[in-house]
Amino acid sequence: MKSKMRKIRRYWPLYLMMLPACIYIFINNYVPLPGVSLAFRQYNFQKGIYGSPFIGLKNFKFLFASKDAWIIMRNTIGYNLIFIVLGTVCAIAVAILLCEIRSKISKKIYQTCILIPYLVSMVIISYLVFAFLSEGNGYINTQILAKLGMNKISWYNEPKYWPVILVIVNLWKNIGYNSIMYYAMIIAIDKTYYEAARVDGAGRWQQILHITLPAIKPTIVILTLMSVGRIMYSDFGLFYQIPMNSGTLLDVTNTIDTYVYRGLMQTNNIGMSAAAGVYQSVVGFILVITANLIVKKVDPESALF
Amino acid sequence: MKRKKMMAAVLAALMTCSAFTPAVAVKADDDVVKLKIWVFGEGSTEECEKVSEALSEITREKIGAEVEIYQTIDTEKLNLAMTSGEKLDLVCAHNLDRSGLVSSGMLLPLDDLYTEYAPDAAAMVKEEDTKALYFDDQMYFLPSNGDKARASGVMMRKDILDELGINADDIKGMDDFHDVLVKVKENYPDLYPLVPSWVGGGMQKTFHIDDIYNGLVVLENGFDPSDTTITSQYETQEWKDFCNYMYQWNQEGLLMPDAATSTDNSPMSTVGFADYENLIPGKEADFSKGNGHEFVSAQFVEPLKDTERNKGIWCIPAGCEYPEKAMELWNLLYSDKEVATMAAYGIEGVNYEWVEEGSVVKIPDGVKDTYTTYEWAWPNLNILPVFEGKDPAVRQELEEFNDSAARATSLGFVLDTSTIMNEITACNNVKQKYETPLQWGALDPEEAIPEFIEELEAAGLRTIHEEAQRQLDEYLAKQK
Repeated sequence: MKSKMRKIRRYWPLYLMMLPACIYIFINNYVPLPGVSLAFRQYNFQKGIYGSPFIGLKNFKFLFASKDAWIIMRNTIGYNLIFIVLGTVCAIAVAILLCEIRSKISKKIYQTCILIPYLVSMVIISYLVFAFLSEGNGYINTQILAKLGMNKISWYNEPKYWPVILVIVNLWKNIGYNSIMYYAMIIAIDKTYYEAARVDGAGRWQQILHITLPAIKPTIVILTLMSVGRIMYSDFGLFYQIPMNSGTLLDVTNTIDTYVYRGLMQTNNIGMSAAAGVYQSVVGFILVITANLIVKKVDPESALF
Repeated sequence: MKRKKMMAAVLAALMTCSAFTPAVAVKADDDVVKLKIWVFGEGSTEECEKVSEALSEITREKIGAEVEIYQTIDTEKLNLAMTSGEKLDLVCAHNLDRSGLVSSGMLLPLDDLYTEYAPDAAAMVKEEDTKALYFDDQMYFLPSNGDKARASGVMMRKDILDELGINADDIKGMDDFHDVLVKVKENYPDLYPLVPSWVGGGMQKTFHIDDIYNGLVVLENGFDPSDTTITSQYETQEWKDFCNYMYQWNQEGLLMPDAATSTDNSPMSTVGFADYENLIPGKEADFSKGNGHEFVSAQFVEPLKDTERNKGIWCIPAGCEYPEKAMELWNLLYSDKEVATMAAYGIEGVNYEWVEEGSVVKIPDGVKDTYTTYEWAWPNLNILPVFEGKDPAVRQELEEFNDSAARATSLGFVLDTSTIMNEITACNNVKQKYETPLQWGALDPEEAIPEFIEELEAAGLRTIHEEAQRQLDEYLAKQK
């Protein structure tokens, strides 16, 4: 107790600095928690949250009601897995390449260029994509396929291309931001390791494999664990805006977020939306715990908690 | 000292944070009531404030309340305002889910208020027109006087028809229409013969069905009183035929490419020759004004008066503090020409001016159209003047059109969806996947329609139909 008091007295400015964030998290993440009970009620505006009648799990039914249920889960989790794996690999690759660039100016230029897409809204990106893929006037159809003598493709009606398109768009958009994190870790690595390695005759590839990657492993694990926790959430803009909400593509573009949005957009049933949110959080929570357990087994030092 | 500084800094930070939470409450002066009304329109905030002020001058005298007008055409914005409990007093709930509003307790029941505080309007409303305003024997919506019936067909560029030597009256159905589209494609390669009416493949329904709930619950033939078997639009022969036509036309290149995912909200003003439209008297003039060409229509389906057009769109949210005043205001909007005109067109001499005193208005030269509401979204279209270019007699014509239209079998029946919400939500999702692509010929009906129906059934379509049939039979039995 005494030592704790001493700690507080010694570090109080740090605690004080933490306070606003704590208050924010408390208000934003903890105060609304009782609202979870909405997922189990038939919400009535006049009766309020606690006055509305309980209806058990009925609100959850629509998530599993149709044949789409499994398609949605497959898409949500499948795309996210691809994004996590490819995203991490590409981000690390880009970060390593950036570190290899000697000229300060070109380094800055590259960094900025790959970061810009991250700052652009999905709605705008959807029109950039549309400029490429539009059936009548799109760049690919008029400038590439036509000149090669191939038939036009009605991109927004052909599901088979979209897994690839979505992955490309997502990578293009997020790679800059993700690589910054790794880039920061890599430049923090003590240069003497590399010097020693070079003296021992290690090539570039061996340096990366035996120095860079092990050094940034904890970051990789933490970032991946955090993404795994959000595996049930999908980027709404990516799956709704980019395919222009085309019905024919739903088999490959429908994720839990777009499904909930489409289903409840007209009826705005608060209980059912809450149910979807609760379901996403619970699955996300379980996945993080499991992933963390696995990491703990394999490599206790990298585990989150 | 240091600590104080630190505290001050933290407090300042907290205050900046709290400054971001929007202040929504409107404090009325001591005894003047302020009514917030939400209108379907596209006026700018400044114009709305000016008009509200001018309108308040009148309403203060007539009902002792001030008015604050908000406009949007964004349904989601209104949705958000309603669900987040913003204090609104009178709302035009166009495009909102009515059954959902009622069953989640968002609206006030209006029976008593209507008879007590809206006598002038009540005297003007025909009894038949109040039927569809009820849920469980309680009135939740206020009657609207406007287009209460609809015919449907296609709207076409008149100049092009003239050049091709075609008379619009000769186009009686899809086959005639097809021949016209083919000629247009041959002679006007710059135009798309058939285009969507709004973004995302928007299209009006040109079927004989009596649509009870969003295409999921319909009667196949609304004109035939003996047909009371609930089905879905997607199982009717008429719709299947329509999809077959559209599929074939898409193969022939008669449709705008990517129609189902179109991003243009009015292709008719630029690249289109024809689209599907609802038809009412005055529509051609309105449409021509809005799209900058002269248009002429051909009717495919005769006028039908159904629940959809008579359900009323004005309502009073449960959070309203002065429901009596709100009802009095609605009464004025319905029955008082001065108030209604100002609310719909703005301030005389600023937002509009008379071409013919009392019956025809226009927007003054050089004024940008910044207070724009939709006439039909107001409670009583009949007491509003018309815009220049339109014959004032159109109001009378509309009245006759309403009276002469066939009555839909289910007229007045409103489906209570509260027990079938899960199935409806699931079916809505299935619809998203198939409806628009099929209607724009992007999917082969041979394969896609059976799949569509199968998925709807898996999502609970039959449960919806059983419940709807039970409710409808009950309703029809009561009518006898």
